[in-house]
Amino acid sequence: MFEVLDELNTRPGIRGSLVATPDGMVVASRLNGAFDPDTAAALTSTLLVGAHEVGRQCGDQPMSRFVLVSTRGKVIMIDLGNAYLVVVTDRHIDLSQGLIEIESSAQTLRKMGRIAV
Amino acid sequence: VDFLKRVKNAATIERLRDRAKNDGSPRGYVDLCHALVVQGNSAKALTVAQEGVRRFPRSLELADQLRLVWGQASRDELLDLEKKAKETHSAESLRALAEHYLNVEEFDLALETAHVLMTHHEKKADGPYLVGRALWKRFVRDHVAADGTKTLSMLRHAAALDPKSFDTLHLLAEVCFYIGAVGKGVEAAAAALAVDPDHPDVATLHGLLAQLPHETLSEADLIRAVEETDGPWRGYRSPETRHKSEEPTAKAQIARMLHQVSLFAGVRKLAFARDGHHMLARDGSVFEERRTPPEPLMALTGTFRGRIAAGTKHLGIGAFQEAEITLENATVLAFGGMNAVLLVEIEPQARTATIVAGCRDAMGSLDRAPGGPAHV
Repeated sequence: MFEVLDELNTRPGIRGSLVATPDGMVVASRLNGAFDPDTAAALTSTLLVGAHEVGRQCGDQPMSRFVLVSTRGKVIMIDLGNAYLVVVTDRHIDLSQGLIEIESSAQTLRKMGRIAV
Repeated sequence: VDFLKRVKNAATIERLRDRAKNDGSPRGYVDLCHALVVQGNSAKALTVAQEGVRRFPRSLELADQLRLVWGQASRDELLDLEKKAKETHSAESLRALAEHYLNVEEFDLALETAHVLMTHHEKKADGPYLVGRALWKRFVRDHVAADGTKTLSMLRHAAALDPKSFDTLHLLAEVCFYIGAVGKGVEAAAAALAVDPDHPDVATLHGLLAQLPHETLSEADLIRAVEETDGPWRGYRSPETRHKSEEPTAKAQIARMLHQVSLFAGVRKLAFARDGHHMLARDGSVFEERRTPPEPLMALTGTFRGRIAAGTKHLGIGAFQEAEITLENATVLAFGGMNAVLLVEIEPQARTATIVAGCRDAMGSLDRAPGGPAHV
């Protein structure tokens, strides 16, 4: 899993990535030094709670992707089945290209099988 | 034919310029900038993009446009400035480079350069002043408490190095007013007036501050409040509105904006929340939400305004702007502004790009820059 995250982090514009469970617990993290892992975990948990609330109020639909844009970066969350891949990127990353790479890493992680927590 | 083309191009620019000036959303600036680029006038496009970003600091499209045009119009100038700064490390060259970055709203690069200036010229006030200015601009855009705290400490450091620096004292007074530190604001404005007693903007600012009751909270608490509410202190008045008796009411503008967005094909419903305004819209009908518990989409706006907005700031990626949540049979779009959130539930096959552009314009119209000293 760490190899996939390390590989993903070599892509231009990607500042770090992690895998978290649906309740926000971080399973594997490869965030660059500028990010506090606890804060990243807290934000991941908040985003997941928000996404679940959205899904619930739209008729219990599962969330497949969550893209958040802020003034200095982006956060992309992809459903892996029983976990989520969370990627933090630069503000100016081209998402049309970046998302393909992130989805490809998510696919690899899915193929690795269910993540035992 | 060439003559007619030129006349037509000039008329187009004139029309778009009028629209940008009068339109309450970033769209006018984006279109004008685009037209200028197409006509090969990158330098003017850069000026327009700069003006637009100053007016609508959180507009994603304008920020992208500015970055794009900056790359086209200022590459040679930038390379020249970078070369000079690297070779000489002189205060002038570093200041010029930092100013260049500030002019195109590249705050992180401006900060980096200003820090180099501070390191190489410790005794000069230019370094801390520029760091303070870059942080102030970022603070006004993102409302991250750490930026606000550092802005004040850097400006005070600059004022200590050069107590007669009008720009530093003026900006310090403005920052204090922005966060609600009235007492310190009066002191800084008075100090600025002592340097330039005839400056009308500072005189107005000083007059305004002098009438206000002094704060009861500590500076750290005031800054934290700005971060949490994602907006300036309630009593703050931007330079443009200081001469007016009242801020225009926003309610009608919000209702009109929600009505327009709700009419887009594929939009199921939307919820808007801002201090005192909680509105829902569906199929062109807009109504205030006063139920307890509120509609689920409205309840979600609280998550975005609270935990998600705070989470992005604490993580160090600035202020929340937009989000797209893809579900099996729906997509939910979220747009953040100065202390406002708009959530839109759309059908999966809806034209997301069109709706996003409409929502950005709508939110942009509510999200004008709170201002600051004109020269900053």
